[in-house]
Amino acid sequence: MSPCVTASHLCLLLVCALALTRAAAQDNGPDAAPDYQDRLIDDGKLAPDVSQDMYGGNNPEGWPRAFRAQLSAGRVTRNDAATNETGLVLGGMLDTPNYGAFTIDANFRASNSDAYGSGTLFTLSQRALPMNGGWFGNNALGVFNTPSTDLARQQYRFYMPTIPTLGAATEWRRNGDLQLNASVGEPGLYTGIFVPTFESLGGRVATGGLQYRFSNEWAAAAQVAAVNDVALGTGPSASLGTTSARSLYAGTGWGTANARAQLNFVDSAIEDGSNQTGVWFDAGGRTERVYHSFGAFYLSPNLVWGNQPLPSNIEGAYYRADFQTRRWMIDGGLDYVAPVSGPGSATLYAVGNVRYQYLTGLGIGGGANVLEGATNAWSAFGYVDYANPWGIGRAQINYATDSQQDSTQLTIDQSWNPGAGTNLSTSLLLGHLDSGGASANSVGVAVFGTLPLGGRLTLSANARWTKAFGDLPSENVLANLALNWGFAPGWMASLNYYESRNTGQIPLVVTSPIPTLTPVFVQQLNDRTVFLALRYEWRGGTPSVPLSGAAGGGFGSIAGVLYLDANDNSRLDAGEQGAANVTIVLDGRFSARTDAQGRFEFPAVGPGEHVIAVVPDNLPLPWSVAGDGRVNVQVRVRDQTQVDIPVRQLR
Amino acid sequence: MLSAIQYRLIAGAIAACAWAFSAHAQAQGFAAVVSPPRFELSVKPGSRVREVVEISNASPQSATYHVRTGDWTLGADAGVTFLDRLAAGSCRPWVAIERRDIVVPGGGRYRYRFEVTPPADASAGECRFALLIEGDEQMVKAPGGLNIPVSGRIGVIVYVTIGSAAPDLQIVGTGIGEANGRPVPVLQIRNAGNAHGRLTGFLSGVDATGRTLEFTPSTLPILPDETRQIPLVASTAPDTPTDISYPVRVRGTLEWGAGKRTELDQVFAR
Repeated sequence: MSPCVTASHLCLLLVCALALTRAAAQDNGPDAAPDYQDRLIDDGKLAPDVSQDMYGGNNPEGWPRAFRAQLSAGRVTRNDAATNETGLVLGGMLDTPNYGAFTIDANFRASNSDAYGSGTLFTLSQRALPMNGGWFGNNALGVFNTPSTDLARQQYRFYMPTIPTLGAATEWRRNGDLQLNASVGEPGLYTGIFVPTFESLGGRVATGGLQYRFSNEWAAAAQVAAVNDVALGTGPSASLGTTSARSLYAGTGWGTANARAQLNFVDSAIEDGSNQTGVWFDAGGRTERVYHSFGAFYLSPNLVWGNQPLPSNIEGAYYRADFQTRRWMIDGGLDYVAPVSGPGSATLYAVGNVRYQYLTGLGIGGGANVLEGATNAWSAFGYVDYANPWGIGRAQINYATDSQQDSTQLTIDQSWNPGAGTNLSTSLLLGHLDSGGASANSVGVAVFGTLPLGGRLTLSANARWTKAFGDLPSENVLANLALNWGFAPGWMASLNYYESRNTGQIPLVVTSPIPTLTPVFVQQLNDRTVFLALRYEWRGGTPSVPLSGAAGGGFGSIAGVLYLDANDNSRLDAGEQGAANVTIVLDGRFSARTDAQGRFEFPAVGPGEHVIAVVPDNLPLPWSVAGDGRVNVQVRVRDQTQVDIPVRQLR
Repeated sequence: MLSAIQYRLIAGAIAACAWAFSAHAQAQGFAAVVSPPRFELSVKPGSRVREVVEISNASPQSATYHVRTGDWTLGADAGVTFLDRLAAGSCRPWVAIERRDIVVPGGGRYRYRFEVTPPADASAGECRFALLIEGDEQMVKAPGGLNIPVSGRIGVIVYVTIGSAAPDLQIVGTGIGEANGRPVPVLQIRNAGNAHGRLTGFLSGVDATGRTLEFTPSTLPILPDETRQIPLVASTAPDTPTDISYPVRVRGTLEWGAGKRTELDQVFAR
């Protein structure tokens, strides 16, 4: 008795596929029986279960705008040391039709932590500022991450970092073919536990970039970053000294609908005179059913991007292949990584996964990972997915081993169908570990779910508990509970509790040796956090779309005079009268009417070329429009285009 | 061929869509989001099943919606026609709704309840109806200065299996039909059961050029006592339909109902 849901459990449907005009509704026929009157539950006296949006405010007038504020207080106990933090987060947005969207963010944090201290963060941003010639601009003042070209940002295996900076940045883009960016300021770090604020590292950073798309397939980019006298750390790490460095990225990319390739080059010079180079190549292509990805890389030691580390001291290559049909999913790959210099040995990593959908409600799969080199390890897993009357279940067995341990784990997962607005997943875990001649058996349970408690009170839980018995006893707890209460339009109170306790070994996971530098959330081993927040959000306004333009594309205006050109010189001369009450049509769609002086105006018109036509019906005889009465007009963003249109006397 | 009323329905839908989107820009009009889009429930005779449909108002302004039930029919072209009047054999008298009019604040969400209570002596079968959610009627300006009254409407189809009702799907014919402008193999499926059914499953085949293709049966509902054409859409990769060089031999297992399967091994030729 559960509502039908799609495979993705997303059953939202915005339907305007059926609408009836009154005429159609009457097609049930005048001779049709009277419309049926539905029965009502409890005579229609059920209390409405209605919740307001998370936003306050409902004034649709004016430009889209929003405001939010959050006051929070939290306490973190980490390895028996407690830290208190209170914070205020303010944010606002104003989406203008002609100057882009402005956002403002301001964070204030007070803490008794020696490591984090207190801090602030302030940013004013302007996004998608429309300009003439197809240009859009993005600007930032305050704290931002340095801008970067698309080619530098869109990486397949390696992550090109950006630098948190207090300063100013600008980025210009033109019709997808040209990008320019620049920034200058003081580099720093984001600090804080619940409320991020900015802590300066001193010194200076300057960046600049250019990307040009030569054709639909080819593009090239260059990006530079320079830092001077930037501290290598803060707090206890402040004694590490400072660094100055110059970094250059250059890349070229080629892409079609089914294939891509990109060549990247990085050069960095540190103040001590060392110059380091990195080159990597990524490519991929699709055959009918298989997608191949491959690449090679050489990254010398101590590569940096400004004051940020890059993957360094590795060379190697990789290959991946993915095959997919409705029934089969197979992927596999090989990674080879070796150090460029220094100790260490080459590592080979192989991975393979396969899944077969036997029936629509029954799938089986498995996979393996093998690591050979400095560390030898391998892991394998197998599973069966099955639809059952209560939802979807999975039984999976994992095995992993290296020179230190062998671990086996059986997991039974079930995703339940509890009804609209609620989700629930549970797991049962059984494990066995052999390590250094000792062994342990473990048991665990996990639950993840969201439960509406009525009104706008919602409980979300993600909790996991495992306990090991035998020679290696341990207990691991991970709990994340959130209680959210929307007690009034726009207002939300949240209480979060997080606890992580680990007294045993971290489970062995065999992964690729290729570093990515992708930001990773590091789970603390012994953490307890209580966090209380009071939040208010407000929004209003309605996006405006200019005539013959697109929302956010900016606009100009067209104004003019339709005048009786008495001397036939095509100029509006003193004493010549306007033609009143004449219809002017823009692009054949929008019309305006001249006033008593013959003036007309289209106040918001999208940039580009437009056609104005005069409908001569109301022209006083013997006057008429020259030619076909059409005038081509070029409109520029934030400009007013003046168009004076003469009408002539028939002679 | 579409009937006159279907043409009017489609025209009305287009007008309502155009009106809804333009009206949204003016911060007014029909902007309801309904979840889920359909219900498939089951209940024993004499018992009651209550469910909730979530009606969200995506516009920033408060909106009034009118909710009622309707009967519906499924045309040969898979078009749904809703009927306000009580159809013969309708189970709508077993249905009770929360209320007829609701007000949903701008950006708000209404958990709307309805329930179905078949009588204790109801025989095994399927109760089918629709929950119709309508916005207030609005006047839309049409070319020529006409003002056309238009109201947006969302229909949520509800299937309720009573007792042991179940589909019984049988392949009664095969042929070549058309789907999305492409000639495709079709199956004539008859439902001899007393509840609706849908085909799923994995089919594969090799066409005249030797290409291996996957075939996906349409998931159109096949109502009891009706025979419906079910197209088999060919693809070489998921979600990328392709043309077929005939003849093509299609084999595999069709699934329907609770654990019911039918093997298919059929050559389709033009």
